[in-house]
Amino acid sequence: MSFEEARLIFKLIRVNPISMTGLIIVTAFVVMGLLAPYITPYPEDAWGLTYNIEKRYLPPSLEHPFGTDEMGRDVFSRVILGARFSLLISVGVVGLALLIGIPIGLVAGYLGGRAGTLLMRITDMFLAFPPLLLAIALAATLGRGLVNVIIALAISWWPWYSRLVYVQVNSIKNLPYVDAAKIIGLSPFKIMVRHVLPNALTPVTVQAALDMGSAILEAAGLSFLGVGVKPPTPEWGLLVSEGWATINIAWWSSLFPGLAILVTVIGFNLLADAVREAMDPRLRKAIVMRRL
Amino acid sequence: MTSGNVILNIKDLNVNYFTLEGVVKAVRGLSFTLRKGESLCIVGESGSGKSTVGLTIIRALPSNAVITSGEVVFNDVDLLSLSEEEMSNKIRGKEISMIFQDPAATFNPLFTIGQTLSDVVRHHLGIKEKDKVREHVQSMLRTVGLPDPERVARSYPHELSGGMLQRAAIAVALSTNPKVLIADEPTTMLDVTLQAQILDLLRKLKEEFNLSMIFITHNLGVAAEVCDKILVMYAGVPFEEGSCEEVLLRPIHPYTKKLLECVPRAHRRVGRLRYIPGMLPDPKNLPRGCPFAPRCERATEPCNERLPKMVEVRSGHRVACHILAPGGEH
Amino acid sequence: MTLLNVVNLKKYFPIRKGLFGRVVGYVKAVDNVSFSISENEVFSLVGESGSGKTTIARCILKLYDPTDGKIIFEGKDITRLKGKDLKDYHRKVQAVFQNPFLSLNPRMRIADIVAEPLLAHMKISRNEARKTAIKVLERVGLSASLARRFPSDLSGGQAQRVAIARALALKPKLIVLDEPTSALDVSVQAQILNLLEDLSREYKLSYLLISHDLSVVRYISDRVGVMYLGNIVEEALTEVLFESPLHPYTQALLSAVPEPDPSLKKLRKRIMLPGEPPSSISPPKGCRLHPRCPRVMDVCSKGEPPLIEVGEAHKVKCWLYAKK
Repeated sequence: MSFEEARLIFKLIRVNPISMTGLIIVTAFVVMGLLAPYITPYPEDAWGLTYNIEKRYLPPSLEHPFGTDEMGRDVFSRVILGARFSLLISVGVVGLALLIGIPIGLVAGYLGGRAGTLLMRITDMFLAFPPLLLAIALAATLGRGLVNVIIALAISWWPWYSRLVYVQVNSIKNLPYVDAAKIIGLSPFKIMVRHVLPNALTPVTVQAALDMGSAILEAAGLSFLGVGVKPPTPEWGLLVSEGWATINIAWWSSLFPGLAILVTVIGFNLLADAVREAMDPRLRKAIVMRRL
Repeated sequence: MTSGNVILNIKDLNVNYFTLEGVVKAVRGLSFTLRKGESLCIVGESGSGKSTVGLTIIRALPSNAVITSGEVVFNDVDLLSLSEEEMSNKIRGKEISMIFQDPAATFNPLFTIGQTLSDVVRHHLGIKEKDKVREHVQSMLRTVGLPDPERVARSYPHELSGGMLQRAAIAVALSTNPKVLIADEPTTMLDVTLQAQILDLLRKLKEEFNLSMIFITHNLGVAAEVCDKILVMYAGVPFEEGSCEEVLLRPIHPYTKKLLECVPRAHRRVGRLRYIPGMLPDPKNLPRGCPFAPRCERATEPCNERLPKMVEVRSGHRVACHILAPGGEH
Repeated sequence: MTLLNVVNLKKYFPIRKGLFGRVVGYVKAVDNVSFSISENEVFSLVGESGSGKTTIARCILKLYDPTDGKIIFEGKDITRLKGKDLKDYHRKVQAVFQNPFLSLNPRMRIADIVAEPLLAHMKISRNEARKTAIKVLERVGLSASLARRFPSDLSGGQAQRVAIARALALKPKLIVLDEPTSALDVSVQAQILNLLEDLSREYKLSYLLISHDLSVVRYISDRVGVMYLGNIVEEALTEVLFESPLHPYTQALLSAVPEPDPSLKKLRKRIMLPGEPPSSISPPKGCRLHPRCPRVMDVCSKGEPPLIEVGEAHKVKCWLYAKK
């Protein structure tokens, strides 16, 4: 995405309060994820290293805004630190999926022919599984742990990117500037990397940024089902799952991490809609009119 | 020409587009009249505002366009004052029809040519009997020179070639027996031999239906083929208007003169082409005075200060230029 | 000196159908075409869409592999070139396309676009290449201040100058011009045509111009080949072809070009071709024009007409001119 495109998108987001809300939520989430260890009121609680029997099941108060859990840990601190793990998982999953998906889509799309068809058939095979089921199966096989969660989700994720890149590359590879590069005598590798890929990436980067919300949701799903990260990691899905057992006596230990997931995912979706609107020329015109 | 009846009168039209990057003044101070049975050609390069004029007349401008002032008087009624309902029931597609560069724009790809045509016939002409509608559709397709009208009526738009589809679009436009036909670059997408066929057809139909025609094109040759009068526009401003022969053989405005000099010719040998230095102005950032002034070698003070106004220089020949047609004041 | 010699060139595109891509027929885009281009000569192929002119250009540029025939450049058949020889060929044959914005990578800076061919073929540093690129840009009439801009900052005319600079950078022998001014406004078209003319003189370039615009063809070419449905139907020196065309198709094509001068209009007689060109999947038997030809004879539907030499460098593929 070029600087001008980014600036235009930002301009369009700024004029729409709903899009702006999405942007604020996502920014807050990222900042929280980066600074988490330094801003939690009870760092030891956050990491899950403590056990305070006298502070169990305290309802929300000024001291513990989100209350405490069955081990007497501050839920607020755990939710804040959870942002870091959610951020880590979403960046890890999307990043790894891009790393696998982009080269496959690029090579398959540009070279075409038998090799291209084979690569895309493999991609389709992965696409044929329901992604969450595939991720659950993989996570269960690999065992619990942060890295395994990332791997399991990325493997169910990359085919979407390679499809997207493949479609883009197919529309770009016949453009005159690619012909011009061939006529100059560049090698297919150079043409792919210098001329095709940079122009295929805009929709992929946008899609990837927006997929981070879904990655958080799915990672939480895995943790909730017990095939995700290991306790006592304060990952949001795990927090919901841990609090679930005591929901009758301490509803807060499950509710607040759940709300954190909800708000973050909504934030990413609002932002997604705004960016998609801004990228579509027809919708763009509608936005301009709304402003007039 | 044939009679003195003015059928369409555009008075001081100004149209702006609002875009994210700023306001584009697409048409500035345009006035002209169209008589019954006359064909007027609006000639211009990109950004001249020629297509905006056509869309303004049938009130089909995109949503970010605003007509800031002016009148479009058709049969003593200002079309700009009509409601959208009156416009779509009585004027657009009935009294005033339009054909486009891409004939596919006339058709819904999900309907056959026959279905589209019969819808128009039923809606605008109020013919309800199945047989009569069918008959009218067939006769229209024959009129525009389509061989095998039965088969064409059963075809979907993508099944016809570009030339045949443009003929079908002309059939739709003329099926309601309109008074005015607006043709926006109708042959630009066609090969020369097909272009010649369509131009011939339009000329023939103009006589047959006693049509008034506004023909929008960038091609001076095409203009010379079909038109009685020519109006030259540049960056939204009208520069020169007169009979076809006057404008093409005795042009006055520096832009028209230069434009004629820089077209290579197929029918005669030309020496080295002269060209207009510089480039077309940025529509979002137009010069304050005459938009051609930065490229004009005769430009002086007033050219950079004020927009020139159309002045009648010879009978029926109007020019907007501070230098060669002085006296035009706002 | 002959620079390029195209001999009996054929390019058929298979039409595939069904699950297993069974070949059910061929689009005979180019069917047995021969012509040659001399050093420092401008040769044009003119024709309507589907005539095969662009396919020929793409074969010469090695974007398509011909089905049959030879393309001889400087004495060597280039249809089977590989490795270093192929790279050498790319250095000598360049191209300019119709839409300047589509032919420039939107994410590269102007100077880098023009420097790219230099870097691909010469052992020079990026900086040296950029410096040379700026010199070439100045030669085609662009100021050095545009070097760091992106294509989207340019006007159509400026962008086409960049494309010309890129083609020119390696000092090639032949530039294929595929509709180089069709996407430009009239007032800009003349600038580009004059620039192309000057460059061919200055660098002793040959051009193969592909165009449907006969007025542009007349202005810039030395010799012209007229194409119809995959064949060259007439070939002659430009003035000969435009002043006394012999083939009925050439005559019709010429008479169809609209003329801005109303005084010339009256002198012209129109020759109308009825209908539209048939598909090149199953072209008409015999002469391909015969179903539409105003001067059709019995023999025309029976056999393919030979290419007849009617004068110096003037060939016509038409039965009218066959010796009885």
